[in-house]
Amino acid sequence: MKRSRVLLADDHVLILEGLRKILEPYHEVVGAVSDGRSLVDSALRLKPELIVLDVTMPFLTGVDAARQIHKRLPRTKLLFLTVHANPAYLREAWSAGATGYILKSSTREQILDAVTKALAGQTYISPGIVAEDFDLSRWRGGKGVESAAALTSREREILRTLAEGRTAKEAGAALGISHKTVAFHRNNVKRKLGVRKTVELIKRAIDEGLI
Amino acid sequence: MVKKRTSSSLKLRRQQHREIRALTTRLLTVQDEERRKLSRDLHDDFCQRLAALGFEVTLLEAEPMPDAIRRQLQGFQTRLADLSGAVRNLAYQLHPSILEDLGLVPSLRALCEEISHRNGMGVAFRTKNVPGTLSREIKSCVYRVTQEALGNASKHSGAEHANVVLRGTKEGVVLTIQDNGIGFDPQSAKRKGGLGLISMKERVRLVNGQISIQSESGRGSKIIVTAPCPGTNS
Repeated sequence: MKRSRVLLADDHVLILEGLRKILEPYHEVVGAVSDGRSLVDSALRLKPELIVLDVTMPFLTGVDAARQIHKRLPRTKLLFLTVHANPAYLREAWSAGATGYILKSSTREQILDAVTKALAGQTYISPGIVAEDFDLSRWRGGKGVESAAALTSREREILRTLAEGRTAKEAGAALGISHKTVAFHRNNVKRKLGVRKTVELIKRAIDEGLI
Repeated sequence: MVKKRTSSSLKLRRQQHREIRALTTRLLTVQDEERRKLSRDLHDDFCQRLAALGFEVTLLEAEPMPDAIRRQLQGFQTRLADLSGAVRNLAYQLHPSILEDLGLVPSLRALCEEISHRNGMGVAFRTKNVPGTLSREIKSCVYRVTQEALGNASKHSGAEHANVVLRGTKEGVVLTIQDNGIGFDPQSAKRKGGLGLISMKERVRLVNGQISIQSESGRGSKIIVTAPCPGTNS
């Protein structure tokens, strides 16, 4: 069997270790990261065939990271591995371009099966989340989180970076973009949120639980 | 003299009333915050550790072992998955972390679908121009009011269906929940000390919003909540 290049993303070290042990005998684990922002960076650099990722992660959620990766690396398969059995999470993952969705309570065989299926471009959904004959295509490519008025995942990422106390220049360096791009997005976010000063912006970020 | 005493007694009562309301508001906020923290801990720590333990168990399955031990191991895994599910449910009861994970609209949609599925009352959910960013308090208020109102409608009103509409306006958001049940008399519900109605009102007051509860016996009920969030939709 051909060993495929797989990238792992989960903010829990124990999960990453367990997953690595399950996959390594059959696939090449090219990296393991623990937040959404590192995931996007590593994915763009390593261009893996498959990413196994969690839904909720710091800085940038798995869903937002998946959205960015799917746009830039449409051939990379995305398999969500999560504790959330609520179909609402599946819906968001699907709208972000997921190939599969598997629960962390699954057995080793189920995880390996989901990985094989995802690599072949086939759908794998853990049993019991939605009916077996449920048509997932209706959820594909949805706008995601809230509405047209929502912030883009890039804007949320920049907002979080600025809220960590960084200047536009420092945020640009951290995200690998120019400080002018940071300022552009920051101003867009200010306009969308109806605030004028960066300090008000940060306060909003805190109030809204973005950081 | 009597007039003076009445006036000062009225002042005192108003003051006491204000203090009680302030205390209720504070209680609600502290309770929400504590529950949120506890729920996060259960979810982010306990659930993930249980999942990691499940991984360890399932990894052992790849090793050669007698059938009896293998069966026992599979039993452990099932029990671990059940335990993980129970902890997750408890975390969800304490605080709907879905609000922070996915945002208000997907959370409300999931709530409406869950109530339709569980209680058999059809719930239609629509949104229009909902601002992408709302404060945690507003999200929590809208979610809890919807949960309470739909819970009441499905348990007590005999409603067959309900409509939930959330829309953004220049001033903020407006939530409307309407059902076709038997309705109720809001005044008598208030006198009976219905905690649901009180907590709805307090939650709305907490975000400086307004709530209108319109209901008549036999004609269903309609709850409208407006929550201000200046600038969000400009």
